[in-house]
Amino acid sequence: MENTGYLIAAYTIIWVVILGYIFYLLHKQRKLRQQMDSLKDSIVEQPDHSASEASNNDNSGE
Amino acid sequence: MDGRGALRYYVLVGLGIALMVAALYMVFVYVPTDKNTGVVQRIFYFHVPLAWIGFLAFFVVFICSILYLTKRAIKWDTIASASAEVGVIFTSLVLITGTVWAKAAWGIWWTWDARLTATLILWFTYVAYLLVRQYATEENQRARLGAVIGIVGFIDVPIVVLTVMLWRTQHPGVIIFEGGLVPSMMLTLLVCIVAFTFLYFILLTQSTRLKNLEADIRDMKDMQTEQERN
Repeated sequence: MENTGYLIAAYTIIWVVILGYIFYLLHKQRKLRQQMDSLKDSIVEQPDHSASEASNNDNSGE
Repeated sequence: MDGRGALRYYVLVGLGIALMVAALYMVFVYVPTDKNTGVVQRIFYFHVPLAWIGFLAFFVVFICSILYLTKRAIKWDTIASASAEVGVIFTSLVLITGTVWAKAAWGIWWTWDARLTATLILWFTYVAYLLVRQYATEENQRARLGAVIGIVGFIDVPIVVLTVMLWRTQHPGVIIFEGGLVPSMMLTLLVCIVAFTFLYFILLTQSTRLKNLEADIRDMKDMQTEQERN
């Protein structure tokens, strides 16, 4: 039983690395989804913005 | 991911968790302690599957790299890079658990034995693969360079496997095929290999999804810049 420390160390390292990688993947995915949502909003908003500008120009022309 | 894809993924995760729990139970409760090497021999049940997953991951890189170079479809490059990332993580764990086991069994952390050295070279090759991809700025250049390293680097995998047969090494031989395991040990090893194969596919799916998201965001940023210019 004198080598139990090595056994515990090996299994601890395995699980810390694997769970750390899973956490990294999930955390980064969540951040990217948030970034994507804000990008989608800004891309959708822009045509409306230019459309409202165009209508303002039309009104000022009248 | 569509409805059926999501269901398949959740089934994969569910089975993976169940198998991993079973594997841990078998490693620490079911399987008897080895009479010669003692309790530290239990590292073997995760060390071998980790190595197997490393080889599988690099084989997927090899196949996807060939597919990318022949079809020029970026999805193959995405899967290859995701698999390389998972492969590097598992090979790192093979090297770490190997050194811990070596210290307990041989009294040394490391020796320049053929198997260990070839595995270290394999690790360096795929770390280089990931670094080259980081520094290449253009998408096609990155994919092309990655594919070449992914194909050439795979040459080291059969060398790692054959080292114990071709050279006299301190590392044990392929005891699975030599019949050196009692049935309960063999069963435990097989359950661990299956559990780690499930884990590999779960991580590959997640990593590929992440890389697809990154690509989508790059495209959307380009679209946004284009819109602002107009």
